[in-house]
Amino acid sequence: MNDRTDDLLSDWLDDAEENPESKSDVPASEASEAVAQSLLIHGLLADIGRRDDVAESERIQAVMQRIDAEVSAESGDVALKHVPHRRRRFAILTSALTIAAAVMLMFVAFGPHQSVSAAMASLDKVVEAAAKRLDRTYKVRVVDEYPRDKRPQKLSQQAWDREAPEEIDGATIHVRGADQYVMTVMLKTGMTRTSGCDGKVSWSFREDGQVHVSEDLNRFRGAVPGSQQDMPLLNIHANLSQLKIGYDIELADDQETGTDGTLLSRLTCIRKSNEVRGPKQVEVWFDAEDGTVHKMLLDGLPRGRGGPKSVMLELVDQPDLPSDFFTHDAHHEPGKRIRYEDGRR
Amino acid sequence: MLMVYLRSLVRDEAAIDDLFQETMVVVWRRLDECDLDGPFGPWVRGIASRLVLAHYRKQKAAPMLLSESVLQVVDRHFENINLLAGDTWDDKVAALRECIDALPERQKSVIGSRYFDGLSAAEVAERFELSLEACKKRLQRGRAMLAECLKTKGVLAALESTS
Repeated sequence: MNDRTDDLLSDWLDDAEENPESKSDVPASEASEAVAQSLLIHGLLADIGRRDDVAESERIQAVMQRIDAEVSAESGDVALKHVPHRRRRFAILTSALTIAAAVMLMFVAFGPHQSVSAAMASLDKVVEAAAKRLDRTYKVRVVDEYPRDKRPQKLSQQAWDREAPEEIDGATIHVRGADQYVMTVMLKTGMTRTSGCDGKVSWSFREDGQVHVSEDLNRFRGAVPGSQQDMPLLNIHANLSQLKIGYDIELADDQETGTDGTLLSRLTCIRKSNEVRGPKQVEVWFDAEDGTVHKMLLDGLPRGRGGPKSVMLELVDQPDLPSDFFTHDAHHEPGKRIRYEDGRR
Repeated sequence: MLMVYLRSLVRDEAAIDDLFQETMVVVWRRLDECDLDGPFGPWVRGIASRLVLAHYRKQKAAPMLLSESVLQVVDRHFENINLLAGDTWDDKVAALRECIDALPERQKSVIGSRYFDGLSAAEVAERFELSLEACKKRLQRGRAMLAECLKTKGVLAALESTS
C-alpha cells in the first residue's frame, strides 16, 4: 500500500469527522486488497470493542418490530391471498434473525449451542403458527394462588391489599393471528367484562356499561393474563425477542400426547433475573408438527396486581369464527353507547 | 457477521444501527428474490453495501477508497472467513485476540485505547502524549501488523488465495 493510500485510510478510520473527502487522485483500485484488509481489521476491532449484548438484542427486537408492523399493515383480505407466500418468507427471515440472535447471545444467555438452536427453532415455529390468521379459543384456568396469610417483605401494603376485580379462572380468550382477540371474564360483581381488539381498534365494555374504544391496540390488554407480562400469546411477533432475551429457553427431549391425540413438544422458558418483567417461568406445549400452542403455563406472575400465582391457558377449540367476530359490534346489542377514547367518532 | 461488515464500512454507530435494521427489513421484503440454494451471506452483504453507499451519497461524503472493487474484496474476505472452522463468528476470528496480545506495546496500547476504551484518535494521542499524526500512523501500523499476524495464523491466507 502506498503512503497516500495509507494516509487516506488513516484519515478515514481515525479522523474526528467520518469520511473526510480527499482531493487526492489516488485510484482506489490500486490497493483494493490492502484497503479491504484494513477495513476488515478495523471492523473486527470495532466490533469486539463495541459489542454490547443488550444493544444487540435491542437491535434484533427493533427489526422484529418493524417487520411485525409491516405484516400488520399488510394484513387484510388482499394480504390474505398471499398468506402461504408471506408465511414462507417470514419463516426464512425469522430463521435468519434467529441465527443472528443465537450467535450474538449464545454464550451470554444460553447453554450449549445445539440445544439453543433447537429451542429457538421451536420458538420460531410457535411464533409462525400464532401469526396465522386462524381462530383459536383458549380457556384460562388458575393453577395456583398466592398464599394470603402473610405479606412478603418485598410487597408493599398497597399491593398486598389490592384485589383483582375480575375472576380470571374460567375466562375465555378467542385469538386470530397476532393482533386480534376477544376475552370475556367474570367480574367479582357478578357482571361480565368483554374486551378485544380487531387489529384496528381495541375495545372493552362491562355488561352494564358503555363501550370504550381506543386506537391504542394495547389499551385494554391489561386484563389478559400474560399480556401485561409481555408474553407471546398476543402480539406474538413483537414479544418474540423479549422472550428470547429475558428467558433461558429449553426444548424438552420428550414429547407427550394431547387430549385430542396431537403430539406435543414442550418449551420451558425460565426468567433470567428479577429485572426481567414477566412470570418466573413459562411453559409452552405446542403441536410438534405445525407449532400451534395447545397449552401455556404462566407461573410466578407478578403479585402486585392482585392476581393468581400461575395460570394455564388451554386450547379448547379451533373454530371458524365470523369475519367480524373481533369487532365490538359482534358482542353487544345495537345502540349501546360508545365512547372513543382518542376523541375520534 | 453483518454488524462486523457494517462496522468495517461505517464509523458512526447510530448509522450502523440504522443500516442494520434497514438491511434486515430489505432482506425481508426481497427474500423472494434470493436464491435460497446459494449462500445467504453474500446476498445480504450485497444489500447492505448498497445501503451503505446510499447512506454516504445522502451525506454527500462518499469515502474515496470505498470503491466497488474494495467492496468486492471485503465481501470475499467475509465469505472466506465464513468458511473457516468454528461454530461462531468469534470462533472463526479467535486468532485476532492472540494477534492483539502479540502486538508490540507501542501498537497494543493505542489499539486498545482506540477500540476497547472507545477513545478518539485525538484522545489516544493525548493519553500517550503523541502528535495526532504520529498517533494515527501508529494505529494504522497496528492494524497492518494485525493483518500480517492473521495471515500467519491462516485467517487471511485463505483470503489471499481467492482474491
